[in-house]
Amino acid sequence: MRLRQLSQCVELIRFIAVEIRYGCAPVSDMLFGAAHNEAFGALEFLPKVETDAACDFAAAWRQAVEAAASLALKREEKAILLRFGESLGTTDSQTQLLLCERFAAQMKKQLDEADARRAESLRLTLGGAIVSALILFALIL
Amino acid sequence: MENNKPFEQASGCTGSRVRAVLQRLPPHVKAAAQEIRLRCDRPLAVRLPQRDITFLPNGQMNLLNTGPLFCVTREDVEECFRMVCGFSVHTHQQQLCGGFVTVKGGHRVGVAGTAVCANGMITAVRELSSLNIRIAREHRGSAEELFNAVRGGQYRSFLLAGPPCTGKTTLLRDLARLLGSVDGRSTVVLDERGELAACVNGAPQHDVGIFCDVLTGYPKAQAVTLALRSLAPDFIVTDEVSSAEEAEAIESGFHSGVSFFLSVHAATPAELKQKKPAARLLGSGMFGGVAFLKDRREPGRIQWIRSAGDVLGADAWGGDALSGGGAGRRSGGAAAEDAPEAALAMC
Repeated sequence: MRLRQLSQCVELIRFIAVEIRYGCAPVSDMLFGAAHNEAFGALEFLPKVETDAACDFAAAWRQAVEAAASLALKREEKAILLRFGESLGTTDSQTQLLLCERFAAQMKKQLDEADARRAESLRLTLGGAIVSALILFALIL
Repeated sequence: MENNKPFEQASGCTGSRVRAVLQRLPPHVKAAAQEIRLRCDRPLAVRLPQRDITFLPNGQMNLLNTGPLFCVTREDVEECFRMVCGFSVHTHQQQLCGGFVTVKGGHRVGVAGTAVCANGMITAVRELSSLNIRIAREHRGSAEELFNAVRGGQYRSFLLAGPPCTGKTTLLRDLARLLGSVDGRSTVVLDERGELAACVNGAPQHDVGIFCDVLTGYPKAQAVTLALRSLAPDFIVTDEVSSAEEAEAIESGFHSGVSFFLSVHAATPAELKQKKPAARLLGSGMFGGVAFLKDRREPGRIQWIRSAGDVLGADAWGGDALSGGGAGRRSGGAAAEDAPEAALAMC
């Protein structure tokens, strides 16, 4: 679940960057697009932000991310997500794109590390299982 | 209460602290308010036609503007700015570089701060110091007299002149509504700054007539060409013509058989003639008349109207053409301070 959410976070930031680059879309439109997009189905906090964003977007984002029980991200990953939300819509498009790039890179790094750890743990589990099977086989013999 | 709606709408863009103070104003003040001014670390002010009012620290209205006053903080300005931009500064970047953002309802929010420049162009604004929310009001019927004259003159092009805050946009908007309702004619409003029609999601927030198309955000010169090419207008309405490029495009449009209804910043004919684009347009012979508006105490009120030829020929006019009765008036030009209809007929 965490890997899926991390991957969708990276995709979300890239989606927002595209909306800013080609349409200078307002945050409300981007949120609407993201909240109703199945590709971001694992990020259940998005519809909540969309509902509350009319008053204060940054506060709505922070509250929704912090309150999302289904969000299985680690603390540092949540922190990246929070910083991204707080920076969204606060500056000109060029800076906004650079920020998107930076947050996407940070999130991608977390995703790659999590992926590598998962692969390593899979490898260890598989290795352990093979060794155990071999020992069991030897004992039986 | 309906008269207070524009104020409520405009004050809704301010942050919660400032909004709470503004909402306590009595209805007659809300109805008369022209601007809401937020300046960092300085008192919150509301501009009325004849004076400014401030607030006491407890939020009560203060007419004396002295003593301890309710001050606007940096956070208030930033909160208001974020709300004005709909939490999407990047979307309004181009408008911000032009100095203001137009919000729902057609209210214009002027932004002052420190400009960031690159290659001689303003690319961003930082360290906001003040915001000026100009309350847009629709004055239905304010341009009827002018419209009747324009109709009487076979819809010949017309120029509206006046200093800031005298209701040029208001009058032009009402004129657009009336022109946009003329059966069998098409009107195009070139709303570069989103003030005339104030379109939100494609729908004009102000009534601009049923036979009217609106081009929002297009640079004026390009918009004229585009409108001529694709919208087949009979009338084009736009405000604040300020560059030679715009004047050239308008002139070319005029020679394509379109009538233009424009506004320009100028208090007197002498000032008008100092503005090269306006002088060029007047000199082209395309304009039937020029209406000068009264001061900010009576926004939208026409002070007098002259034929374009009279304005061009009024070399001897000083800065205050009204007080002295200059050459234009002496020559029996169409001056009519008290009888604009007569002047209109002559145009």
